[in-house]
Amino acid sequence: MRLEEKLYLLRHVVDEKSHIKVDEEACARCASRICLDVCPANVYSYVEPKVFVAYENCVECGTCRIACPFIEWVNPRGGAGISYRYG
Amino acid sequence: MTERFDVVVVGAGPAGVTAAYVIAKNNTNVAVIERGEFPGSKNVIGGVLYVKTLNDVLPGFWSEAPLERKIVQHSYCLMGRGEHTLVSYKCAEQSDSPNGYTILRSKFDKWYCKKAQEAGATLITKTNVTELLSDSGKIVGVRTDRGDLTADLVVVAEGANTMLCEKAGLATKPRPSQMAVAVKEIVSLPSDRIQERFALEEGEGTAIHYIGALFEGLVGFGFLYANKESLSVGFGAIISTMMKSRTRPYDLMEKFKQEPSVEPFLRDGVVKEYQAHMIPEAGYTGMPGLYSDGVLVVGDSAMLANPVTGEGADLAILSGRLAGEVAIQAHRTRDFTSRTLAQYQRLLSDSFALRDMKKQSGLLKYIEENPEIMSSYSDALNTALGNWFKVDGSTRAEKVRRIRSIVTSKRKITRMMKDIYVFGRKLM
Repeated sequence: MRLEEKLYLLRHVVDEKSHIKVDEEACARCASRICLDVCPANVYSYVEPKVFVAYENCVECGTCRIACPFIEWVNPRGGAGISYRYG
Repeated sequence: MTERFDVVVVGAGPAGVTAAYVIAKNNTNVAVIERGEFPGSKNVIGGVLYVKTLNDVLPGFWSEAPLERKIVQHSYCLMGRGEHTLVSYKCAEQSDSPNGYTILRSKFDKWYCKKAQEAGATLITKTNVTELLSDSGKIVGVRTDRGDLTADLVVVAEGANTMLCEKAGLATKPRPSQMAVAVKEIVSLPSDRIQERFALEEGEGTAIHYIGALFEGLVGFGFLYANKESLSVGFGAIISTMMKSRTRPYDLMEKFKQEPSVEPFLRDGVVKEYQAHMIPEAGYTGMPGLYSDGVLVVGDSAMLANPVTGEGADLAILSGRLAGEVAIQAHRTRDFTSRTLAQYQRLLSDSFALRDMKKQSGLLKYIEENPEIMSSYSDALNTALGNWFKVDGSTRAEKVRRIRSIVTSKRKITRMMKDIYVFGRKLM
């Protein structure tokens, strides 16, 4: 089963504002781009010359914040974001 | 708008709710703030809640709580390459003193928080706490995206993402070697098929932990737990090891589900939910400050998780109870300074959970420095048993010689001695 199909099963309350910020200059220079690999929800993608953030798919594990010092990750606004049906 | 409570708890997971329940029971004015739509909506458990610590709070809770299956069987699966060895323990006779149950958090946390509310706690949902308010070094409340709340004491149960603790200087941001990322799927199956597949009676559940070849180069393990009408399947691995091997969590998940020791259990199942969450693995030495003037830290925020036993939620409950008891004492003496709150750390340090974690400290580091441990023993065992069972014209004596040379080729005798020494010292 493809990740896209799995993500499609999830219920999100989408915030109009992103809770994730990347440091564009650092991203442009970054050699590892570990965000592309560690995120379980494939929130990050790279299209020359920028890292794009699909914050609306974020499952709020916070792994990217631990893996990369240039990602500024905060909780989404109260009531917004992932809402698991099973958990 | 500023509201006032005696105690404010940040986060309605098991740690926060336990603290709120204990405090509310003592007729103290307590609010629990939850950023999700409802308690449990953001929460994920590997699968098993061990009952001991919750039973201390709510004796016999299993007669009314929304639980999935009572765990009567624990297994370790040592994955080889196309072969595996399953070690199983089963005890069906434990109806009076259950050990653990599988749970689903969106149901369980909601029920548990209801208990705290019935005891008098105020639940505030859909509200995100953005910082702890302080006044000359003492925490005096919280700032939320819907206004400020002041309190004599704040109990921080914010979970594995410890932004509040970091902002308040209680913790530093964990390093990738101190956290694991866990990915899990809920795979639905009719209950009678689950019972047939795992040879279980109705209401009985099983827990399988997987180590070995698939997780080569990682410090991590897989798991499979039986719920009422679904299986929880997934794995967790230390983030630094995922980074080093550039393993994508969802790719590893798919590989795990295709393992010959996993796939037959999942067959015909339908994926209902895909989840990811972090698990604190910094252990005893990586724990943040657990208290300061006007604040206590509990649960995942306090790095309370035991990778050896898979405990987490039950340790959260233990810490929540101890924090609640200390909060009551502070309220009684009107002293919310470190002097009174330090008692929380003392009580926690004396608990079985912390004594275990203290003893185990350094074990994950040893595994991370010797990653081949994760697969060499299961490879050796599987190859040895494969040889042992195979009828190929060689004598037993020849087989034993062959097995001995295979085992020692996987890991040198001197290394084995060291492994046994380290594991023995850390675990026994």
